[in-house]
Amino acid sequence: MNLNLLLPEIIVFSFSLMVLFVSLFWNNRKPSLTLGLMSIAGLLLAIGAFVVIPRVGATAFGGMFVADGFSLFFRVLFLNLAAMIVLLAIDFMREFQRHLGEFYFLLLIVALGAMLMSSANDLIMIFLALELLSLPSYILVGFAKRDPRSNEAALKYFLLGVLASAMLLYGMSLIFGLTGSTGLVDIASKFEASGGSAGPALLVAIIMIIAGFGFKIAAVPFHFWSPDTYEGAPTSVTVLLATLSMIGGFVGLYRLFFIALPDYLDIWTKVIFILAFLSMTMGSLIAMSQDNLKRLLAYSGIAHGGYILIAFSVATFDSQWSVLVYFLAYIFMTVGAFAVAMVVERARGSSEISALGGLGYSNPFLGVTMTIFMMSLVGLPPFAGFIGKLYVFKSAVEGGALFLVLVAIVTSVISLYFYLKVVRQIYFVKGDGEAVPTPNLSFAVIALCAIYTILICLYPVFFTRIALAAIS
Amino acid sequence: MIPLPYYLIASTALLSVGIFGVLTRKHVIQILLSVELILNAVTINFVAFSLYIIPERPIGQVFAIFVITFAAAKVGVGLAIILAIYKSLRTANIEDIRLLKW
Repeated sequence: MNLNLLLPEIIVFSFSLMVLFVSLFWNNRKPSLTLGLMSIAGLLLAIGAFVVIPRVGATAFGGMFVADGFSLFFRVLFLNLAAMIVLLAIDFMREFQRHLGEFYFLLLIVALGAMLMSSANDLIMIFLALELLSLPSYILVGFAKRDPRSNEAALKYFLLGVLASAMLLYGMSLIFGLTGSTGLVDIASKFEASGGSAGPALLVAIIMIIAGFGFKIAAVPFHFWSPDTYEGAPTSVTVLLATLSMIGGFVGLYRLFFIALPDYLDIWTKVIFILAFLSMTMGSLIAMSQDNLKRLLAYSGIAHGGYILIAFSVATFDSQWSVLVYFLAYIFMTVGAFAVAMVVERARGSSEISALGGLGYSNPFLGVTMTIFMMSLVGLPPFAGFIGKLYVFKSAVEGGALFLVLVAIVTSVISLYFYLKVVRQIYFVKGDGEAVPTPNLSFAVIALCAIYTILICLYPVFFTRIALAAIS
Repeated sequence: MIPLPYYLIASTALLSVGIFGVLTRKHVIQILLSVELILNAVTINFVAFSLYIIPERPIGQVFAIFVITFAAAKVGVGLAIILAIYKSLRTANIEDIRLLKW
């Protein structure tokens, strides 16, 4: 068996255990910094490991684990993303003196789950990867266990999460019953051989699977947990939910539907069409009335999930690679926006939008970068969000989804209102005028995200080439 | 041998009871138990399909064991969260847990 292929996963897993053990036996004065840097070392080592493993076209565990261009793209992406999240967490977990080892351990396990998801080639593997992604994140959301808001956020996330997992499993069991196989490629060939129309069992299975993943990606109408959980969770966990966990869900959806059910494209794209429409409209409309920055970003994430689902519902080759570019853009602008929110929340003790008052004058750097991220989230040039939307919408128009694109453009205009609300607070409202201290590591992450947010728009060719290589 | 549809009817009934329970129960533990019913429906499905559709390879039974393992792990995490919330709010009724609301 080709265990070599899993070298990055093995490294991440060993480091996660190491972090846990070190935190048990080694008392030092700066636990967050030590453990965080160990986690970063593991993640970077895992990225380095991609140099020595075979690139594409190999499988392990009897075909359950596949290393193709798609999985390569997402495994590297998730490792980088996890490294950024750990960098942000180092500063913000200082207030938690205890259980820091567990925090970084669980964070690395979430990253591991997302990586396995992108290489999953079997229903069992998809299910296990999804749970590896979900179970630690339930605990992470409730990490501030003396804080009733964090408890409540965890409870809501957990109850709806296990319900969604159970639904997903029921759908998988029906697919298994129809084909007698759990391998994705095998399922596709069995469906192709049967060649018939979709029976009611398959319809139920498709709807249940979409409900299961729809929870993970917070698509309307499976989004009810998202605003509450985002608000109640510690912000270093919220950023994890908004990026790693959400994109992990999209990856699972992609693998399951594009690889196992290409024959029933016209059925599941219709269901996703509805989800995309609802997510875009509801996400943007409800976001308008939000006063809390984390809640606003939750609804913004729902709306962006809707834009990403457009690409899924079109399901052409162009829409597949353009959604990867969208993921890149989404990651940098979302992590950046959350990073600024975290810095301000830590200093001013509130995640309300009003806490940003006068930030543009007291901290010019934070003000400017937050404006960049907000403009990018709207989708204005010259920022990454514009490129992401441009490619997705272009492929959607070519794929015949004109209606969805029109809805997307209207909701983008609506979203201008609430993103500008944040910018207005930064520049046109007088705050207390005191500068917010920015920790060095957070400063680095914010600067990196801002640079990439601009770079993706200035040199899109570089990023589209990566995305094209991942799909073809 | 009992025909396959009987198993499927039993599992669909369990699924319906489970979904009904999740939607109507107010106590967190009861909701957790209802989800457990859905998972049992899934297990029945996998084992029955495995036996009737591909009796020569027990893939479905392997999957069923994974489902059972997941159910155990889920209860572990869930009870910990419920304990934490009971300690801070002194209730486990979802109607009384509403600090976060838009």
